[in-house]
Amino acid sequence: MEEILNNINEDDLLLCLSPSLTGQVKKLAQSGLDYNAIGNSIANFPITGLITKGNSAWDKEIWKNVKIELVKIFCTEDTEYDKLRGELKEKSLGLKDGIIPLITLAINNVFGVTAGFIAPFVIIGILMFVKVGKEATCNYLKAEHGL
Amino acid sequence: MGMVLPIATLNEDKVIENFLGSATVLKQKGNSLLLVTCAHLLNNQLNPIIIYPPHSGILSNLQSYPQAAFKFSPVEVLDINPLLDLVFLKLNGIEGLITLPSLLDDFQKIEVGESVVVLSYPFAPLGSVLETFHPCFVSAKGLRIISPELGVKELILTYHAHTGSSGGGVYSQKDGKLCGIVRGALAISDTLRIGNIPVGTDSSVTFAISTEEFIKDVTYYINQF
Repeated sequence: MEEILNNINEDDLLLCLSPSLTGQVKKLAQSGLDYNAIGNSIANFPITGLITKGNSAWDKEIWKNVKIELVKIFCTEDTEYDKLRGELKEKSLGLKDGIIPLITLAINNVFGVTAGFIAPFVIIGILMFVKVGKEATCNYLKAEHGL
Repeated sequence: MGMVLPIATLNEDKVIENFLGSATVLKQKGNSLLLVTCAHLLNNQLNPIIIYPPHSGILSNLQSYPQAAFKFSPVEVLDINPLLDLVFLKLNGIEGLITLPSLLDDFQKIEVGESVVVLSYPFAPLGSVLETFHPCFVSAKGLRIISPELGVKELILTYHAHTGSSGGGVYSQKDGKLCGIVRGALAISDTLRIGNIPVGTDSSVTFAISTEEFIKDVTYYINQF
């Protein structure tokens, strides 16, 4: 799994986000936030601020849940993701049309019904691994979530 | 003008569970529509559907109510942008060509005091699928600060938003262009509720995300259809 992460370019990964979110994540990074803080900020956003009218169905645990699944994928031998690990070893996989959809779908199968909701968080989570390195990120996330 | 449709969710038995609010049609490609609604209406555990209202989303048609049953179709969640409070949706199986307005690409082109119209389904969570045409004015232009380097452009409207208005389209009276998506209203925290409906929080300071913030996303998603 380390080889896959090593071959991912940070800028290419950012471009897997929608154009608006790519620009926003870049600006948040410029303001000094690391990708974990950016994920936290984005996951909290739809239900914060001055607008309080009505209900919010938004699940702000989404970022935490995605990070826990990424730890299982990249930092453990959890058998739940054996099929995914096999698929990711395919040499010709592209990023936007291969690696990201495969990981998103695999995580989605574990805890959700709608892949579109978690895709940006999967990308920001992988950005953590690409930017800081696999070992450091695994250690950090395991400590953060008591894994 | 544009087309706005009600959005709801299905339960495990494929029966309509909750009406949520409004979803604005952005583009058509072949038999598919690209729509947008508010992220705060949904989460990854919900199965969103689009309701086909009795007037087929055409405001000049008669809207018969109440309805005992509705036709609906599931929609695919393509992507989210939580910072904009938006979810992009794909609806398949559309027959015929729908006339849709263009999107305003420049926030500078809309003025404070300008007349706009909000199309939405107020009180959708009560089960209402009555689409309304609400003329109002741009009362201010806002920049919602997210970080020192990042702000989100918003129209502030005199529109009196209700629960269910979220996701509704804001259209210029001048040229009919879609210029924003309603996302909420400035309100005191609700202390009284009737079911899920907050009471005593009404205000006419309503926020809409500027189309300039997501116009590039529209091309990005429609190219994937």
